[in-house]
Amino acid sequence: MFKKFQTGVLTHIALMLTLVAGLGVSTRSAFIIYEPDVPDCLKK
Amino acid sequence: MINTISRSLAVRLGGKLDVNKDSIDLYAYGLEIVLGTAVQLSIIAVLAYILGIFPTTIVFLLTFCFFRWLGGGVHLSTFVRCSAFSLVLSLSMGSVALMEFSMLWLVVMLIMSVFIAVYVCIAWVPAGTEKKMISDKKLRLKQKKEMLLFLTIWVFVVTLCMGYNSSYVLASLLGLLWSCFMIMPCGYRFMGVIDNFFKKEGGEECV
Repeated sequence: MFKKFQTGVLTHIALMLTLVAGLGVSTRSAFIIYEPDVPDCLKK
Repeated sequence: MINTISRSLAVRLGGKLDVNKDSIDLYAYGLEIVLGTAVQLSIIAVLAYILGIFPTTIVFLLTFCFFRWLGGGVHLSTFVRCSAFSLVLSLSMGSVALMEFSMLWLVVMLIMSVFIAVYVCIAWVPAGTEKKMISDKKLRLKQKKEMLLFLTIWVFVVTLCMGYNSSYVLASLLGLLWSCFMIMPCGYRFMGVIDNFFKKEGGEECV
């Protein structure tokens, strides 16, 4: 029960991080002050 | 530093969800953006509150970030340098905005700022970096038009606020001028000088 809940929460976190990463590589960065290196998988 | 923490958290998250290396890279990148932005904004907000310049600093940051989002511009090469520069810039501009200016001076500054912003928009927007360049002509034109549209809306809002609070107007003007400066070639040179100075001082590469 707890493991299922934990996996659900982690999946949502992963989904949000993927969304943030997508915004980070768009033509217009939504995150203005800091610009990290774009990973190779997003450069493709 | 922030890179190592993000990578380690992403590896743990990836391990729990049993995903491939590309997904872990994606999570690490997302975490680096979220953590980096949260750390920088929290430090700026707390120090601005302690110094009693919270409202003007936030108005400066909002305008600065908004026009940087629209127009792009230069970034420093490491997280620590970027954080230090953002902190000094935001707090100093938050303080400068508290200076008293007559309505006439504010109007003159607003007109001059708009002329500068329009010129910068036509000449250099969107300004890219080594990590992100926009070369597509249609996309460049679209971003120029959007910046001009939002600049018009901003002028309207700032003009309405003039009679209400001159400090907020000045903070917003400074935000626009700094974001324009960071789009201009002289802004790139200025940030390059700061980057080189820290390299000579033996600053740690954190990105």
